Amino acid sequence: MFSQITCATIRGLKATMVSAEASISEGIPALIMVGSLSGEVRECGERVRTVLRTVGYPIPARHITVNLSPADVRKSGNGFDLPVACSVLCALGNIDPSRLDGIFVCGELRLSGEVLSVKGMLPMLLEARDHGIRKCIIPKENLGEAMLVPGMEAVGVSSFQELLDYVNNGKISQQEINSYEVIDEPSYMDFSELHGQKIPRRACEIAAAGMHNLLMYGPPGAGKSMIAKCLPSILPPLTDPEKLELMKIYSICGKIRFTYDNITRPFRSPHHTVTAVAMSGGGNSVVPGEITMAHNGVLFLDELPEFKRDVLEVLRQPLEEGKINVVRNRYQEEYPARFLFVAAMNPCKCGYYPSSRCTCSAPSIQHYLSKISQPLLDRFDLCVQTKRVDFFELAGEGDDEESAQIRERVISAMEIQKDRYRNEPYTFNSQVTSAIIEEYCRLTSETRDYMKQLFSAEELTARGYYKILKVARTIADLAGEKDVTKAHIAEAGYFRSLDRRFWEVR
Amino acid sequence: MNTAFEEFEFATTKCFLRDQKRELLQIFDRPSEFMASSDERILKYPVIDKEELTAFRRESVSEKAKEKYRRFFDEGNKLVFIYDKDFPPQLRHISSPPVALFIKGTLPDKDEKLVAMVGARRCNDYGRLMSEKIAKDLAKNGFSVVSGMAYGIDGYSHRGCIAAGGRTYAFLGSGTDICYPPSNRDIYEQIPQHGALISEFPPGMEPTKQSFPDRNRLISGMSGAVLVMQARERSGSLITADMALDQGKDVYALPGMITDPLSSGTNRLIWQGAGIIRSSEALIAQLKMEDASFEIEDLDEEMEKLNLEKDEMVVYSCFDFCAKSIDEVQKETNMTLLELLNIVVSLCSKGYLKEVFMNHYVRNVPG
Repeated sequence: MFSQITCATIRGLKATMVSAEASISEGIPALIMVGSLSGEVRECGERVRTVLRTVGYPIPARHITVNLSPADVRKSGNGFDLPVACSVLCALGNIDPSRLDGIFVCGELRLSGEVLSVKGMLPMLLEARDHGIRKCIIPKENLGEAMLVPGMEAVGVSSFQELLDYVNNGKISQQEINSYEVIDEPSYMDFSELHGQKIPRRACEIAAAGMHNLLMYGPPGAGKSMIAKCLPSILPPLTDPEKLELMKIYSICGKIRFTYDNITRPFRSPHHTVTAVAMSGGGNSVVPGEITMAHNGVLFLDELPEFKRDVLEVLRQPLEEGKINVVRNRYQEEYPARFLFVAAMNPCKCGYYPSSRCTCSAPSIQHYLSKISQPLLDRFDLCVQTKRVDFFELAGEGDDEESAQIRERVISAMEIQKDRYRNEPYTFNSQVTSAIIEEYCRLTSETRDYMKQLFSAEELTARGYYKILKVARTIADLAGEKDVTKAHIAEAGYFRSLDRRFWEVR
Repeated sequence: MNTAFEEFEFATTKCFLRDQKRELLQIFDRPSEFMASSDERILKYPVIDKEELTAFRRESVSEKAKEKYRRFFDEGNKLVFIYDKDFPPQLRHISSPPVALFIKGTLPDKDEKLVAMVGARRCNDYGRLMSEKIAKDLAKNGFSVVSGMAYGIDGYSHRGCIAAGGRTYAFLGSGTDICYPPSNRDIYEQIPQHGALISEFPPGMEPTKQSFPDRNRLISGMSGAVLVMQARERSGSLITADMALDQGKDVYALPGMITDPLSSGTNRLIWQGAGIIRSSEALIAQLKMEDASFEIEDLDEEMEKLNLEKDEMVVYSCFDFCAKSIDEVQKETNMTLLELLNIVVSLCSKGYLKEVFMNHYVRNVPG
């Protein structure tokens, strides 16, 4: 007897369809599982054997082979218990195989027969639907994810008995979608909660409007982390495709606890002791890293120089390409990682350079900045110094703008960019390559002269020059102006990136 | 074996301490005589013991010592002993004088007027600008600047002096063949042409914690006056100033704001009775023993003479000799960022302002 059930495994953010086949033959009594299995899948045979006995279908003393096909795809995840159990029962003739034809089955079993939720359900269901499957039997706890896949009829089960009731008698237990508890909710702040800090506010606005990476530096207690926490609140609301992408990521991490409508832009701020693998994604059973968790949102690294160098170097590919290829011994996965990169640092070890309060030695100041490699420093289009807010600014009231107002300007600047780059592969000013940005910034001769003056006064490099142009373009878009003028260039110059010269103390 | 090698070996050896070497010279007069003496004769005096002498004897015939000797003189360096007529006479009379000096460059003439400039390694822009300016003015008035080639005030004083074509002498805490700190390589290479790098430490010796205070006594001992440009309370520069007072030298201090930790040490010196640097003209008059009671030129009037437009003048007057950021000035002037940046960029290109940190500017001292 032979049977097969449709299920799936996760690779990166995508699922691959798998069929669980079972065959009963004469021979030494055993339940053999094959098909490139990882540890947790191999164990599933033992669970299935026990559960089947519990629900009253003890496995006869025959030779049972379970194959998860295709054999060249490595199977991992905890969702194979249910399909394997169904497949075995079909092969034994305890279930009519036609009742499970074209149905996607996924779920983990406890020895009591209870069905547990599975990580990565959303991408699996999406893939199943793309393969023409219209019906699925999944753990009740995963029903919320099935709701995100239109055209997929879902039957939620909380125990193996419920599954048998449905398959054999068509009886569906009461379906309830768990109300999702909110975990890991991004803790944004509103700009109205931030007092003073006019210049860093403006830097945030420009950063958000053109998706320019932002570096803040200043003494301790100058509000760097607070400003960063405000930043997601001025990014435009998530679009539906963006939401779906995020849901897939959360689904894989088993963190799908948000209701779909409530999902907001992520704000990740890993501590500086984070490892390179935690940042990039990977590990024994591959999981997305911090940069993928920050996808479509903000990645904030506080105390940037304190991060280990290899952790920072991990960021270079994603910052360039918006994704990361995690290649390890046994797998190769691609995760999306397009985020607004915001970092904060003290200018030196004690935090007070260049003021007289700084007590660092000259080599230590130079060493502090040198912990950040030039290629990484180059990824920041905008740099801004934060200062301690004095009492009058703290006590002052009124003119602290709300995030909503800033967000409106950001959105309209983004619309202008979308329209300008509608035929191009990029969407934001920050993504335009250096050579091309000049085409979008036609400078008058006066502005060009000013740029030259700036260029010589501040010893700009060619790279610095183009970065100023890109930022100036965004500033012009924020103002709704067609041409980049002297004013825009001047402001962009003010926010130009850190100059190592000023850390070379003699 | 020749006398020059014997002198070199005697001066470089680490087998004897400085005080032992001096005592040996008092007994034997010259290194060659010491080395020619028999062990019995040397050990008769309670200066060095047998082990030290054996170690020295072994070292003095080694190939390594000869190689060192050849390299030192091949590079055109000089070695002067305390009994040589070229030895700076000022240094003969300080406490614990050096036995010999290694010199890269040319020693000062007998009648050259030497002024020491010392101060914080981590100085601020005020300290930097004033050191450069005063060193320049000293050089133009025929004074030579003595310092220690360290980070900060030392380096800027040497640079200012060289820029004005003066002579400058650096006492090092390492051998003269070692550039420490490495970031001062520019002056390390220039000073031998405009004076000398001087060290009592043998070639190849890396600086140690003790070698810096050791050379400080030479800086003050060499000079007629010591200027302390910027110093924190309890800093090395104040020790140099104390040493200078012990050696009977005049000490001058550059006053600063009482809120500035970098000037707390110099202000304390003034409180203790050190000379105050009111302006470089007044300082030079004092150093020349002339009347220095004249009024200093009105700084406001001086600014009027600059060829600046009204707006530029407003912005320029907001800046100072301590770094100030654009946003601070923006608050003071109530200009828009653009207006302000416009003026600042043009003041920079005219050379009146200088950016010293991201969006922080100071007045540039002309000349």
